[in-house]
Amino acid sequence: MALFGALDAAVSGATVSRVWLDAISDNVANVNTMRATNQEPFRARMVVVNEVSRDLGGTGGVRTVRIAERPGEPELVYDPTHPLADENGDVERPNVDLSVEMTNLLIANRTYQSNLRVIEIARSTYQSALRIGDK
Amino acid sequence: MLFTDRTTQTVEWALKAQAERQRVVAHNIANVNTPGFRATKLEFEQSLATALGRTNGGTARAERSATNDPVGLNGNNVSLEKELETLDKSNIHYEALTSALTSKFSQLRTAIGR
Repeated sequence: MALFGALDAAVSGATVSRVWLDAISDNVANVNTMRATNQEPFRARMVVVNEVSRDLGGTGGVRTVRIAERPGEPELVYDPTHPLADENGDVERPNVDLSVEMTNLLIANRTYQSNLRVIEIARSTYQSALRIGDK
Repeated sequence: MLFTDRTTQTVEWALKAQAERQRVVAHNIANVNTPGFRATKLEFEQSLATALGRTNGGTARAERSATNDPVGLNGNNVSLEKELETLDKSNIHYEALTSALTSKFSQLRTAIGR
């Protein structure tokens, strides 16, 4: 059981939310990044997280396991004037779904705020502990 | 018996339990989007009241158990509103306990003439 354990868990939650926000911003920034058909398309980044156990004196919280890429076949777009177009006039569009990204953006943002709220309350608790015995 | 009286010991125990409850809540909120995560809660009030009710002394224990909140599509059942409510309440309880402890110490200070 760590000193300031509640803060540690909340900070881990905020960190994971920030990593998620970074991934979302990466995805949205690349929503129009076309690639040639002989290249790997830009794939949406997904953050894979895991609970950090509280059992056996573990700190608890959450951690990022890895950044995965959204699977699936690339979507081809017919655009023969595109400099990357192949002999059929096709280019590969990234598999970023803006509606999904914007929804995730809201969730990640709210999650970040929730963890900051925990930090505020936990700090207030620790401060009152420091005041024990004050005259 | 200066610092081992019943009041001090009880308040200290309750402070520890409230702090642990806050750690459990922080853990739940940190995992509010983790797929498959199940929230837990820490309960001790009943056990403490029972232990205090016994004239010849008893042992109180804080027990962590799963909440029975509905599970969402990703297998997660953290209820953010409930967790924040628990956290706020626990914080206020904690402050009440610290001021109780401060009063107790102030009594002792009076007793030793300072």
